[in-house]
Amino acid sequence: MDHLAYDIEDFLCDVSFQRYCLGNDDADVVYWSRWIAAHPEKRPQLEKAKKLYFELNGDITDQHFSADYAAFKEAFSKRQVGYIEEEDSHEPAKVKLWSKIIVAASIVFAIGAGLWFYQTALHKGGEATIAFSTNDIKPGKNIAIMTLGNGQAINLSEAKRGVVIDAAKLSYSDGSSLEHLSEGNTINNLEKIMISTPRGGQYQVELPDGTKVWLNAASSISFPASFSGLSRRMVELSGEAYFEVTKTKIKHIPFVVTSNGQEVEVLGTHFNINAYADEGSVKTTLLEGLVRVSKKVVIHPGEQAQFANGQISTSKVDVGEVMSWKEGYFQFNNADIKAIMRQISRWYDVDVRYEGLTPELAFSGEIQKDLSIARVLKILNKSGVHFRIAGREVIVMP
Amino acid sequence: MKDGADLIWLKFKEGDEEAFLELYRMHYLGLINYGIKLTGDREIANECLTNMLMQLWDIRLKLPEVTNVRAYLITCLKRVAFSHFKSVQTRRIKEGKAVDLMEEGLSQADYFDAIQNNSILRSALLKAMEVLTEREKELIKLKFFDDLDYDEIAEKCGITKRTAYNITHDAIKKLRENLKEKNGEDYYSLLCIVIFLTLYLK
Repeated sequence: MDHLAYDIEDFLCDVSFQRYCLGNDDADVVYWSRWIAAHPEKRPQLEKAKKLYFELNGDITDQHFSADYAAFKEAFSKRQVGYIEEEDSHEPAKVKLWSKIIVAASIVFAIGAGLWFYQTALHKGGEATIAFSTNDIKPGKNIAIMTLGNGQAINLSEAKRGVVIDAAKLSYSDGSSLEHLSEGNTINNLEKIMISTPRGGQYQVELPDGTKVWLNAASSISFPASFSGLSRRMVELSGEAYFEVTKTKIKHIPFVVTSNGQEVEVLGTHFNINAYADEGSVKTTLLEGLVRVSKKVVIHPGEQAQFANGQISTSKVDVGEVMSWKEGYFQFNNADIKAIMRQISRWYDVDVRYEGLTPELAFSGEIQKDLSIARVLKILNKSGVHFRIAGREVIVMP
Repeated sequence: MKDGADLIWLKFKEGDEEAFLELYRMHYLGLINYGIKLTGDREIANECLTNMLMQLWDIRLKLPEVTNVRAYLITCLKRVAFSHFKSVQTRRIKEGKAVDLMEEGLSQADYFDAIQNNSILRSALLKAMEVLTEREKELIKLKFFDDLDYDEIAEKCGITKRTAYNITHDAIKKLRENLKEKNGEDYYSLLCIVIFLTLYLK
């Protein structure tokens, strides 16, 4: 049947549509939710039909149904547990009043205890739901690859937090040395060094001028082995990184980060750049000092510049949310599911696929980044989004 | 649809909890509305519905293999509502609210009473309904209030399923056309709300 040609009365007379309105059939709810997402121009008609449906059915709305159904399910599951417990605690009851009271009390206790165990078991079971239990994926870790000018690639140790690049000397941030150079090979001052994290990796880098960089997952930064003698400290970034730029001592040498066609120029400041290709715009957020974006716009602490298609706009942002990745958690303020899944995809090295309608979500909250993916999805699941894990793919369902 | 309902009933009798919940979902609207009509109260109707289904669950092995699940459930609900009212009947009679529980089914006049009492049915819609024929009113009630399938409506009214659909469809179209003529009222009430809010917020 062609639902596009539907008028209000056609919607109303459609049994499947009626069940969608009331919400008492999941298949119909999914079907019509998807349909309206695909044909938003029909939404006004559909809403009118829904309103009229509730008026005609005696004002039993989807809210009534879901509240009554939830209460019914709860009453039923309690009854099921209580029933089993009562059978177990079956004892030959004496006629005397006291023994009756004791029996009654023990039944109440047994039911209570049973319920408690049941709820606890449910809760524990909930953490590794059927769909996730066999397919859990661990969170990302400290891994990165350093590529030298000659093309040599070095896997940076997982046990170390960061790497320090200081011209001829390469070491980990705890001072231990990095065995890297092939025989007889030395690092040239102008040699370009690139450090990149895969999906599911993060790393800290100390640049030759002492500037500290925190690289988020699926990101890379390239810079010369030494800044000495250069009039600008040029760094190229893809993905996301947080910078704590050191001031140069004798004269001001600007520090410049280029990413996706945007150029950020600073002296000594703390800022974050999010330049993931799939995020739509390059977002530069300032925590301290001053930065100039693409030679035009100056932003102040707490402000963010959004750069897209050569256009820059600025706005006040929640710095805590922007920086949460570095502090070890995801923080979302009214984030939609796609924005959330992009972060999850990068941190857990998974691909994300949407099955059916993309769920509408405005999620707010914090989730630790050291949780396994199943636990993170479980938290999101409470907002009504459903997930399935297949290998390294997460399927999002309404 | 009907075959499916039979199957669910059998599964429920075998102790399938999901089938039991499915029964609830499938028959919720028809039963709750019937309960509201009987008891005059949404909360009591809901309580009766829950009690009725729980009792059925406990005796599921002894239940017959019914062919018309809806009719069976309606009868059960009536019994539960009746026993509920027996306990409070004296008080109700005093208050003049006693309901004749032996009454078979509901007429569309009852429907209008019921939806007027229990719903937000706009007076405009009630007025618009006046243009409908008796048959049209009846089908609207069977379809939306009793939540019957077109199959069930066809059987009940001795018409074909197609006719049942067409009559319902045309009735709604008529209703809407009648409502459209009074569209101005919507703007008027909106204006009232805006004025009220402005005054209230000050």
